[in-house]
Amino acid sequence: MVITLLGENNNYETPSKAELEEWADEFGLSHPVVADDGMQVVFSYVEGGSVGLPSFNLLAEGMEVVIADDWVDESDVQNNLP
Amino acid sequence: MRHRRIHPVGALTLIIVAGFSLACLGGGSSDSEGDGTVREGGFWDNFGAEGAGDAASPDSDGDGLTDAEEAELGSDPNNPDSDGDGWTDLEEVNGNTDPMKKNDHPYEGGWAIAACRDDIESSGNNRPGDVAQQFELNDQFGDTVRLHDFCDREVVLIGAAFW
Repeated sequence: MVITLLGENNNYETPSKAELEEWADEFGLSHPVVADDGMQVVFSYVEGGSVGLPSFNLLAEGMEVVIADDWVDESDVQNNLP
Repeated sequence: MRHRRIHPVGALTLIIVAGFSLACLGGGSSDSEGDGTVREGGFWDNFGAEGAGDAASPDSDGDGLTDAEEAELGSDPNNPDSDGDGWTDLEEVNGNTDPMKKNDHPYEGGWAIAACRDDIESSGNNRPGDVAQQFELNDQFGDTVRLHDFCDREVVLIGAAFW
């Protein structure tokens, strides 16, 4: 399961529903693409004051945070499958 | 601004990681009463209702739930969509949502909602080892996505922006 947290549109505003649809269509995404107002959720996984985008977080079954604001590769995903 | 911009990489990475999307769902199910309603998982496990959908209890509104089951749920036995949200009571029960709450219903996007959704207790500050904090954010279909709805599977969160 992947969830894309889309923080801002090109005007640095919270993406509208239409823009979320546009993003999902452009990249062929069938998973949730959600508007993260002010990137509050993205920043909640960050230690310190800056974040590089895209940012990645991996949660295991039960919502345990395994990786916060770091690269997630295929082996990480495989190793944390339920 | 507290963030830097690496959009082209982001777009490519999104697609790569999206390929990892792993919905560990499925499993067999059966309709032992032969009434068109499969009574397994989620509400049904708690209700202990295997066999409850027999002919002894009528289904006045024809929604696939017997009146006895609707009494247990607290839903309206004479209205197939008790909360008027466009999803039948049976769809909501099978989708692990509340048939009596209008703003709680299966996702238009079709993402399965886990029965453990209300059992997750967040801890800490979203650091490794913590239980992630709940969020409620609107998706591309206009639904409110709740993170803990996906508590039965692995989740990759990707932060991105248009620019």
